[in-house]
Amino acid sequence: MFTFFTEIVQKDITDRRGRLIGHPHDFMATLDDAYPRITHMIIARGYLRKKFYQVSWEDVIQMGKRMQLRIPLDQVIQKQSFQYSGQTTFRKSILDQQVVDTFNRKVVRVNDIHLLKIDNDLRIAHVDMGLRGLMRRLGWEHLIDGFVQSFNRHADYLTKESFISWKYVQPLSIQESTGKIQLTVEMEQLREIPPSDISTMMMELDPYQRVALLETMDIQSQVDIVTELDLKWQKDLVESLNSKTVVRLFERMPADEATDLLAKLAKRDAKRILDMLSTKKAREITELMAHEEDSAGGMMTTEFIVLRENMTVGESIDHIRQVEITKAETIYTAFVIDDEGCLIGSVSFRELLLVPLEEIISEVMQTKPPCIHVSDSSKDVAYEMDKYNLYTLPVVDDDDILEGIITVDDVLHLVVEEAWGRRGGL
Amino acid sequence: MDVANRIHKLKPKAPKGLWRNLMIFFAVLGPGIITANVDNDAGGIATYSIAGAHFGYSFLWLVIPVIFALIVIQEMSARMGAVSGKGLADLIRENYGVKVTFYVMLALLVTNFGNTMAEFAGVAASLEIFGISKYISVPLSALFVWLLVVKGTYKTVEKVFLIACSFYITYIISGFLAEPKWDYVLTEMVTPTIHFNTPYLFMLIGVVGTTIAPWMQFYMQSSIVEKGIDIENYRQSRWDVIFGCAMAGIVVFFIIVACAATMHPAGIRIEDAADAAFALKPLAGEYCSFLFAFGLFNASLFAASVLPLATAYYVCEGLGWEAGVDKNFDEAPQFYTLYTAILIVGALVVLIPNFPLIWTMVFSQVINGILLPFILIFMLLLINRKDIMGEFVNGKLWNAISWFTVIAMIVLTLLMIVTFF
Repeated sequence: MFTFFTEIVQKDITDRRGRLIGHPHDFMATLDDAYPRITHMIIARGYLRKKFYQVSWEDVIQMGKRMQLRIPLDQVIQKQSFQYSGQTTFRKSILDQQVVDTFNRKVVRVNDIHLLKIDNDLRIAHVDMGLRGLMRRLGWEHLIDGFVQSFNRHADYLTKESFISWKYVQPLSIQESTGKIQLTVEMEQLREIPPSDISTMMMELDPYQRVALLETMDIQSQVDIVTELDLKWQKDLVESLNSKTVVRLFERMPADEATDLLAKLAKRDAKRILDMLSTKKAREITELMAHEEDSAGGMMTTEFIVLRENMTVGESIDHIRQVEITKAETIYTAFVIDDEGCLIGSVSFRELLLVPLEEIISEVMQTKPPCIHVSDSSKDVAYEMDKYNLYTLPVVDDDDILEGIITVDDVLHLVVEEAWGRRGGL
Repeated sequence: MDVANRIHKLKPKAPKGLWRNLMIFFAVLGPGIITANVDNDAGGIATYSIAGAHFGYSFLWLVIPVIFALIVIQEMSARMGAVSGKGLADLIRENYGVKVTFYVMLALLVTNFGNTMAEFAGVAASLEIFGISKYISVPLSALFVWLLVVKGTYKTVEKVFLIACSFYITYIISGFLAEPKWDYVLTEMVTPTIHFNTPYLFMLIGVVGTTIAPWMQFYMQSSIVEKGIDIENYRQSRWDVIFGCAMAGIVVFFIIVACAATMHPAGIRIEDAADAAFALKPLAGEYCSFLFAFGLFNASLFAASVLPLATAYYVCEGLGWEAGVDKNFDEAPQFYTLYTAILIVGALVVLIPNFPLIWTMVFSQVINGILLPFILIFMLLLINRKDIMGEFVNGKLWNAISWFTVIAMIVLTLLMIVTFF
């Protein structure tokens, strides 16, 4: 049998002799169950100066319209200021709070909780986030139901419930004891949401929840989520993370993104982060920082794959496998340089796959590939990529030495912004 | 790690050096100044003008204490936004449940709908002085506002707003052009007077209600959150609040002075702000009148851009519907419907021939004043909770001033009702 939170809290609670004690105010449940079972009930007694009592669910007998306590009230723990106690409760974590709907991949606010009653057990089955749930909370459910029925007996309002099954719900309340979000059993659901969707969801949250939600992810997802955010939000987020996490993030971020973000931070913070990074990463970033933000040099990343012209295709593929471990931004195109580091050719992964392993790179590669100078503007980059239909464009300096590459996603971002402005409006 | 700890961990030392402080100040500049200035909207200007014209300088003493209270209350909003990272509607919903939130939002929606009508009444009235019919000016302004908000980004909108703020200087010039007797003005400023009759109390609630409007608290807190101001740079944000409120106070002062100096001795009864501009013509010269009218137009349009948007935003935020101009219609249908409806209906109502514009403008401000204490009570309850604010809860002085405002407003409202009968 199903019931709603709103209906339960209207019941009277009596002692064994049937005298009124108060009304249910809140419940506690073991959130790490698949269908969390209510373990405790908080009773509110009085009106203006409410007193709160916490009773174990075993001591409660449900009797139709009322509930009865098995034990006398003076054996129950009284809580003076219920709202400050550290435990997670319905009102604190679910009801009226924001939760992640992992099915529709967005942040929603809960209007009511749908509970399943089996014998004496009460378990959370769904959360209600619909208009009807809202009306139920306001105490207008019957009024509005009747009103809608008089027009259309089969209106969507009456027939379609906006419930989310509990297994798709991830509460976002931060536990006082650990400072973390308590994950539900179905946390895999959360992990399966693409990073860009998580980034969008994070904008709806407050800074503390943002950090806590991020911290539930593994480091690679964290990097993906952070780099998907707008720079302003990246900055806000990084400022509220602890420095250890920040350094780990920077260590794994693509160098171009890391540079943009570092440039946004206060000088003192940027310097501190640079000092803590590995020498290799720090050097890459410092080099990139020397370029204008809007130039090819500012857009490029220095993490890419280089080959030599005397390598065989087999050796190249092995080489790419090794480099990919240290995260080059793209492997679809590799660039060939000579001993001075000058760009002499490019070869796509597709070409490597299609030719025999013994072939020498200089035979396969495209010589004099299209490239761009570090100081050229972002517009030049876009034109060049469009003209030659490239996914990856090499960037060279005055001496033709290969400095970095620009991938198409960096350019697409600029083109979209230029053409349509930031996303929004009707 | 509990809340106090979490917040404490973030609590930074005050940055040293004037330059560093100034730089942070300019980075966080905006919310305080914009909020305080939007506050001097059409309804506000109408209320102040009538207060000056009908009651002379006898409202001047009120300016300083009200601005002081405004600073205290706006600072609370800024602090709550910076510490909790949430809007006021969110906080009320999460801590006091949906029932309370719904009725607060309903009250806010009704008052702000009145306020929006007042803004368009202001646009209509001010441009009529320049000879532009309201049937042209009002629809065009509504369209302009709609496009600015829906198509603009927060940054451009904020810049347009900051520029609009600077036009309030026209009122200061008007005040000087009206040539008041300064010695008399200064004595009136420090002599509190109060009359216990309905018109005076009505005006008094109107003046306080328009200066400390309920929606401002929501707006202030959201802009702080939107701007990403946190505990680390909220100190500088305080100066933004103080500066903005002081600016608003000066404008209020000069509007009352301009009207009190010219119209009150002449015994002219004005009915709205445009009347004031019109009446200033023979008394203080044509420029004074034009400046006054231009100021009114600027203020009305400015507030008309903010109010419907802000209202739609808080109602959706509080009731858990998606909101924000960065979403499209399919993602946030309630938000866009509400926003557009408030704007269109607000503008249409003003176009009804012989619509009582004056009554609407002032009455909406009185409703603001009546709603204010209830919003303040929620703010005070929230800001004194350790589990939300950590060590940033209100100090004793702040609590005393705000509770005094709450009680004063409730008592005044009751007095007004009592004297009415």
